[in-house]
Amino acid sequence: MKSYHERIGRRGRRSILVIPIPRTHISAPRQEIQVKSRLLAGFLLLGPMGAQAGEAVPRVFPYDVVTHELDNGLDVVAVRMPTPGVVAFATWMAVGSRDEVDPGRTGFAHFFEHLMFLGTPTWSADARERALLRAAADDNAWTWFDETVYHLVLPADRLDEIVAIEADRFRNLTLTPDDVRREAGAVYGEFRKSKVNPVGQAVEALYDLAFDVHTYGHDTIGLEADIAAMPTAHAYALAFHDRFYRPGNATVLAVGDVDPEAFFARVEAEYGAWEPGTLPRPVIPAEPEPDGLRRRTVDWPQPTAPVLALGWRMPAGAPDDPTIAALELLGRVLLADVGPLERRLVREEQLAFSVWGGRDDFVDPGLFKVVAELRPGVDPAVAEAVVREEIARLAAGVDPELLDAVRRHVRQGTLSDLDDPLGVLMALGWALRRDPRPDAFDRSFAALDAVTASDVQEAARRWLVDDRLSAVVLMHREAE
Amino acid sequence: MTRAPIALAALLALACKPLPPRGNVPVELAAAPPRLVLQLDETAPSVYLELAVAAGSAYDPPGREGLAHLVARALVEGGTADRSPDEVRDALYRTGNRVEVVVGKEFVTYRLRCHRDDAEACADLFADLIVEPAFDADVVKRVRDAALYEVTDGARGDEEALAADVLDAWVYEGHPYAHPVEGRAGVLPLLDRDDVVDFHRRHYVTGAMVLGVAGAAGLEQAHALVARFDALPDTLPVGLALQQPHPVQDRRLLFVETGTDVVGFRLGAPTDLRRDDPDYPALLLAFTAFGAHRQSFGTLFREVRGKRGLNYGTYAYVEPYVERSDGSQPEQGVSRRMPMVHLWIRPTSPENAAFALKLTVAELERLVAEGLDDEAFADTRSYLLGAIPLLAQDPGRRLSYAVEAVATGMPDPLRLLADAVAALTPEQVDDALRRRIDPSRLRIVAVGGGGEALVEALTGDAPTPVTYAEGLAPDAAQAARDAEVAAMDLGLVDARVRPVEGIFR
Repeated sequence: MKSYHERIGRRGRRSILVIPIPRTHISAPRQEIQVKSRLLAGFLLLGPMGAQAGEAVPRVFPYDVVTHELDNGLDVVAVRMPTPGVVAFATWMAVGSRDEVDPGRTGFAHFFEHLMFLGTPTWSADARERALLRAAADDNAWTWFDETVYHLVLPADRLDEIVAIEADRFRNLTLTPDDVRREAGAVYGEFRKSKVNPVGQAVEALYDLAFDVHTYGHDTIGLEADIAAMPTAHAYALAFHDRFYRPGNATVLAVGDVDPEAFFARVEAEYGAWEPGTLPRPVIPAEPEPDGLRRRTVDWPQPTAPVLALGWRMPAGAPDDPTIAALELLGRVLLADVGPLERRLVREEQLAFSVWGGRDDFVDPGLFKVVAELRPGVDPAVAEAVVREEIARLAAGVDPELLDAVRRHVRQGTLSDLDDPLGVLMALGWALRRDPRPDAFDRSFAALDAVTASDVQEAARRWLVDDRLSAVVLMHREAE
Repeated sequence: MTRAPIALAALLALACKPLPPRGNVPVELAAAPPRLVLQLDETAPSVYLELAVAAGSAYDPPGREGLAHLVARALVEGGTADRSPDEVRDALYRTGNRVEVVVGKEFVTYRLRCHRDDAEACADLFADLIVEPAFDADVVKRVRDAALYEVTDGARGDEEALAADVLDAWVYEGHPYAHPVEGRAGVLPLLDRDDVVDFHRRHYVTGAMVLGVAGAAGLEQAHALVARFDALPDTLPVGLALQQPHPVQDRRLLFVETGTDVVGFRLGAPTDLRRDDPDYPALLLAFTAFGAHRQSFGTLFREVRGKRGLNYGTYAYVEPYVERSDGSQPEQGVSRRMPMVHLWIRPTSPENAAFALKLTVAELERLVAEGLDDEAFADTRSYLLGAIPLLAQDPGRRLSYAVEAVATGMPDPLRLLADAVAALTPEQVDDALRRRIDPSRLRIVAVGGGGEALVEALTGDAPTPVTYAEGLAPDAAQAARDAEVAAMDLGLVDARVRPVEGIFR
């Protein structure tokens, strides 16, 4: 079965990429980047000789991260790694369905991602398409709660050309009313292909139940009524671009066979004229403290095995915040292959085909989830009781050996995962969105290392309580 | 055991065409099975292990469909001679990785990637699992139950995958490819541990295997790993006699009614086009231009989605295509000796389903009749020449291609395809299309809701016009094309609806 991360997220234009939830990070042989010139010396180079001020964090990310900020507020990041002839490139917009505060506009961040492929006065959609085709650039994008990411993998010798084409659409997108009408049909199609999946729908219901005012309460694809209204949203789309698609909300990254110095110069030339915006970003309504246990049952018209989705409201904090790091490890312990829920629910008592979840690594406080895809005929209450028992057990004490195994799993898994340029780009971009300090990756790792067994125990006691819990059960019931 | 001449025979068999990349396999290792692919680089951060076994679902004994899949899954989870399932799980968990299993019609592929610190432990575990699996009875039953759900109610959760399996079942009716790799619902409950052990003993022999090692390992470690396989039987691999699928002579449609309010399609026909076929590069280029997987430049993507907004995408394939779990690129290990060309129309609304299907078939007819224009040919050739190296951005994917090439005896696309594509002419592409693709011969599977109405619309005399989003009007040329497509008669000699219940019994 595919994991949740493969299912969720609205990835529009073409291929579906797994949204990388970085499994945190560690070190291997480093690619040293030498400071070759005055130009590069002006950039922040993180490495053994890096000019990082303040506290030292153990180096774990295996490649040097070089960063630069343009005058217009655009952040630029380059990472050289040994992938001869191949480079991954992305424009990472800090805009997602979290920003959808306007009534009737759920799903718009994702819809706008689709619209970004429709052309400019210089590069019509067809001309861009042909240029990318000839360059053999694998071009795609995805949208989730906190971000929209436009990414390509391409032959390294075409990078300059692609940077120019990409910068043009961020600066000069043009949209006609008919463009908007046509593309709305594609989004409706995307909605249709996923709405028959009961697990995805159970998780969507969980967020709707848990959040009253925060925009995490609606899924990135949006509500069907809002999708149906998208064809007429031309004016809103233009305003959306003005408001959100500004250099201060963007990070441009290149990873792979790239010369950081030349790349920065190229980005400066192409993205430098992108004008900073004047409109303020919306205020995302803060979710009030949870007020007690919430429950919902979703009736599913087709025959399906039941789904149990539990979510506890989380506190806020950066990934290197000790509380957040403790919750991260709590999730990994609870839901590890070798952890208690997998053992009891899947293997010993055989109540579920699979169980997964953990801490949402979102910008605002999300949920700590446990989702069990139950076997046919299993009473969800029985499965929920097992989850509660195991949480109570962790609250009473955490096996230090299991904790060590989890830490090692995260470290070794992450290290071996960072072997292709797009994967590295996604992991790094994700970390930087949550903590813009260039060593964010290393910091979150250091925070995990500092967590003790009693911290994990305390996190279970304090946060996984009924007052913070929303519980959804999805079951088959014939329509009346 | 002596390293018997099977590998040499395989090499000789390949001698008439360029050899796939096996790296620098030393003579003493090349002499006996399992056949090897070594792409060693001791400085790499990770090690990659891959094993292809000719033991895919086509080897399921009749009445035991699902056995090959059950063996593969239970092998990974069911412990080894010296380690309980929990001990295997604990040991693997500490490396941060899992053994990935791909079960195809002909091959089962096992992969394990580990950080270099764990190279030895991982190689040891990998060999333990393959060579001396314990097949814990409880694990076998659990894996079997999960497979049973996948081919019954679980199949409804992914209607697009369901349509692909139904198309296989229809195109390959009565053939070893026909059933889903997970098995058939009617027989899965009969499978037990004895079946599993017997299948492993018969099929997991070194002659049926290709072992690949890439990345952070030296020859010494490769030697040690290969030596572990000496414990397996060195009997000859079980042959797979594959008859030709029944030829498709006409157009027929099967609608699988699930009661949802969407409709998606899969269209296909068997072909003898394999990667060593002289027409393969030409048809790959043509179908890339026509409907490359999840690429918006494809004709089908532009016509169905770009111009009309009818769905999320429509694609075309000259060979079996499965997306890798880590991205949009093609999975390896799923190729077939008897492949199928197919088209995939992603879900549309029931009201536009008839039109979307007709438009797709009309575009296929046009492609075959008119060929590619010079510009599309040149652009797509340029794309393929650049994109082929991008298929394998990390050592693991490069290894997967090489292992599949040796296992199938087919050329490795990473090495040979670029030259073949570079040499193509537009005339060759058009000629191959006319000779090898016949749009009048198609099996069409639809999955979703409103089957009776769709069948009525497709077999009736009335046009099936497209419904555009409110306020959207096509230009005159597109409106004329729409009218032509709406009035098109698909010429279905049979169109029927069946309920989803019991589909894979």
